[in-house]
Amino acid sequence: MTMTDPTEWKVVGKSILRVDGLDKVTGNTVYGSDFSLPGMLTGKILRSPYPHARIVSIDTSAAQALPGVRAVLTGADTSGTTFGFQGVISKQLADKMPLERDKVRFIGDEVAAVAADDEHTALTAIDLIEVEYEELPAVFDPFAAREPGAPVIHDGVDGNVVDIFDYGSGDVDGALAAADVVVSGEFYSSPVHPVAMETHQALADWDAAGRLTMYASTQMPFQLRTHLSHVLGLTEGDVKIAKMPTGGGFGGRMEMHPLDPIAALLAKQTGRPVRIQYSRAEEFLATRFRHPIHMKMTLGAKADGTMTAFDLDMLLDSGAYVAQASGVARVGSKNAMTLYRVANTRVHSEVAYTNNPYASAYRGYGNPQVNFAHEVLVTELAEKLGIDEIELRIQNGNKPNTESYFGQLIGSCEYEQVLRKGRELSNWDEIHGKKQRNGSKVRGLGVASCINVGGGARDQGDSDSSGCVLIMQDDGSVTVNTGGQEIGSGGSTVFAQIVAEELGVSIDRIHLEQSDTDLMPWDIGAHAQRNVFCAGNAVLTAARETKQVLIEEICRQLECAAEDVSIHGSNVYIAGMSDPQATIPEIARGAHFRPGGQLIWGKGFYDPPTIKTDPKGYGNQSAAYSFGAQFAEVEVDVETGHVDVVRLVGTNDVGVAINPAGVEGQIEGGALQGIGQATTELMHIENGELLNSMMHNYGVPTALDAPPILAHIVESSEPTGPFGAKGVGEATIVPTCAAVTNAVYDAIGVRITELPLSPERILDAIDAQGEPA
Amino acid sequence: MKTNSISLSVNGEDHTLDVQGNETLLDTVRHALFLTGAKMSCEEGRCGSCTLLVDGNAVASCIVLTSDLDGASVTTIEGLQVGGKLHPVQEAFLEATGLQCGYCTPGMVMSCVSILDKDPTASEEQVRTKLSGNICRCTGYVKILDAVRLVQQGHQGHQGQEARS
Repeated sequence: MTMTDPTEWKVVGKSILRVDGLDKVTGNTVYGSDFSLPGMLTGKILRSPYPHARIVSIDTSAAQALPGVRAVLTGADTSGTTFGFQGVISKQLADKMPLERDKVRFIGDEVAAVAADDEHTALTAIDLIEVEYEELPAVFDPFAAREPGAPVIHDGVDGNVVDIFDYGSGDVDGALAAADVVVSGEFYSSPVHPVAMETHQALADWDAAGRLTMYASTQMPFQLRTHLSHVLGLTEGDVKIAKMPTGGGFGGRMEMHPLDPIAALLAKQTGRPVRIQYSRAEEFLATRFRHPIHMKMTLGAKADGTMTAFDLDMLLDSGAYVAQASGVARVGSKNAMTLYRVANTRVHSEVAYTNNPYASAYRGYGNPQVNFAHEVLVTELAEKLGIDEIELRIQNGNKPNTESYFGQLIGSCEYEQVLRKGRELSNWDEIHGKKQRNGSKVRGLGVASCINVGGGARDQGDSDSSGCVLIMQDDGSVTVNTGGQEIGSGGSTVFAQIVAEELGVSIDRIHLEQSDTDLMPWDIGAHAQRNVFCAGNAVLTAARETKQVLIEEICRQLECAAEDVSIHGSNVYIAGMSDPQATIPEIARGAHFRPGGQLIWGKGFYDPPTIKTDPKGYGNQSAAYSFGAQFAEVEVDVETGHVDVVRLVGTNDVGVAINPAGVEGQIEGGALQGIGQATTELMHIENGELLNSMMHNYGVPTALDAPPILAHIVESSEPTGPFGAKGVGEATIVPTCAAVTNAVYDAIGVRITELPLSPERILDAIDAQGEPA
Repeated sequence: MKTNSISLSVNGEDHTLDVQGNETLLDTVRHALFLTGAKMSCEEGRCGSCTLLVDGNAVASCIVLTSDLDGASVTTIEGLQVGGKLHPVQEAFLEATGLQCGYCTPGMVMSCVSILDKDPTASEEQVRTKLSGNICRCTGYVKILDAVRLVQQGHQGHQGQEARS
């Protein structure tokens, strides 16, 4: 994209108020959970109490007979078609049914569903359904699941390994043998949940002709349409997804969940609209979360600090179904392989089924897990080399306008600056290594850094596209109809800023429309921090086309040449005349009402110039890359084992920050989610049972737990991005766990390799090392 | 189920309501009065998304039974504006970008109103403690605390849409 002069920007680069802010502070925003239809019924799902069992029989007669019950469904009432977010990649990855027919694979698996007049009746009816199960041996440990003789969870997947790949280049064994320093460790990243504040909901309604409308809280309406139509035996034209404002995405709303087709089937059967709203306990148990990953990593370097070898063997516990595990493993690997320029790289990854609840996408998508192992080991490597760890990172990190060993075209890159600014802002040289002690509390400061795709991510199927249509209305206001989704991260405000800057229309005359899949131009969806970049580029293209049509219309109405037209505010000027000759509203109205009139509009469809990663990990899957670092300052209480993050500095290269306050919000929010994962959050799953499925016992950080977070934007200008922007939403959570873990090491000299950094784990580690430093 | 007839003032308007014994205040405002600003999220009074003011006190309306509130006065987010003008706390949340997805925002705003009503000069530590019953998953609380500070500084609100970078 060609760029205008940044010094002349009036709207881009400014922290304008969020365009959705007024409705949100007044309670006017109607989320999916707030919306209802006349005659709407309540749907509820019966879930398996066993981690692995054959369904012998289901007796629904008592539930059917209960007054107020309108429909009862079991797997027998479904088509038996399986679905899976990555089923387009391989049929084996489509392994889930809306309601399981033959067997259940985790405690919480969907078995039957009811629709009733009210919630109480629906819950009563669920209790009246009698299911006879034949319990099967279950396996909860992914290593045990791979052993010969382990229970087979999915027919045809012997050994329970559903996905396996090997990435790499060069000669890792040779490089390790020749290395001056080798560090190695085994790491475990624990399961954590996005905990969006709005629980999942689905509202389904069929019209008389048999067309389905879903009022959905989704990050990817067009993907939901595809998956839903597939599993219902329809085509996309038979389904309309009405996009509702969303109470938190974080990746958890990328894929279709079983409740979507279940609501649709209940609505079909009853002829009435049906809403299923998950309880908080169901949200924890039956929606997706971050994969637990076991990692064994080895790094090698020469004495001068040159990293020469990267070796990773990892095993993901997918849980009962695969969902996006194969993508998560690949994305996590690729990011770790390319955070530094290392000539010899080897990754072996396996994804195993177990009878645990099943994981999938969550902000960062594999990158946070692998980064945890990687950046903790890099700190150890620096120590063994006797090189300042920040300098070691800079020495080996990516540089602008280079190509990585895996074919990634690194354009803008301020990796060095995110580390240097963070060093300064975190007071690194005053705090790090000083082990300042206050009673039983010891202070430490740790760092970690990351790379993340910042210009789209061609990882889901073959598309990374976004569409936009702009229409100028009679009064000169502009409707921006974009497939790019607002999931809370501020995309709609950025889209409005792009249009305002390009068209010269004021923000309050721009209206964002994210209506439904009939009207929105196609878009792959909001994931992989691609919204501002890809959808933003589509919006920019549409704005440019609109401007061209507008100027043609001005020329027609004012009988002048295009090169003589200039627009300031809403006034139209012609060269050589000092007074405005018309206003934009006059031109817009004139375009519609003159004989032979025309629509002033423009379209944009953007697909970045990228390719999918190949089977060895090679390929430029993003048009730009985003870089970040975090510096976590902790106090470790060596008597109680409590780790308190007392301050965090987050620095991110985001390209041009179109809305700096919005970018800061991403850094601050991502960092606190990361701190939660590092310290307090954990899904306690024992023998397949989730033991803490409520807000009070899960461990989301509150305002009291949260430290001051200093968000610092390191700007670059990315030539492929809209006004130079890159993505930022994911990179802000990626390095947090490693930064906190490294800070704990700095404080007390114990290197924790399993998350979270709970008091028990800290005390055990201190005990194992003898007296603390 | 047995119902009780109670009087409730909501946002200055008097209502006589027949409520079931197990009906929560959140159910009443959302389903009987169609005030959907307050949100259901945790269902156990832990996250604050449902926070309303009852006789001036912030309460988690998902664990308060409406039948216990005969004669009470309730304020919801919809009742905060006076004469079409935003409450200073609402202004400050907008100005400070103290929101992202916005789902916790109505409850967060109501809690901040209560905190500042009771102690306009509360320290940041006191505000953090009192806000710890309201969970936000998007913001890291940084800009929410900025919003509280803006109110404390007597900020009069943002006029129009000019940039503030």
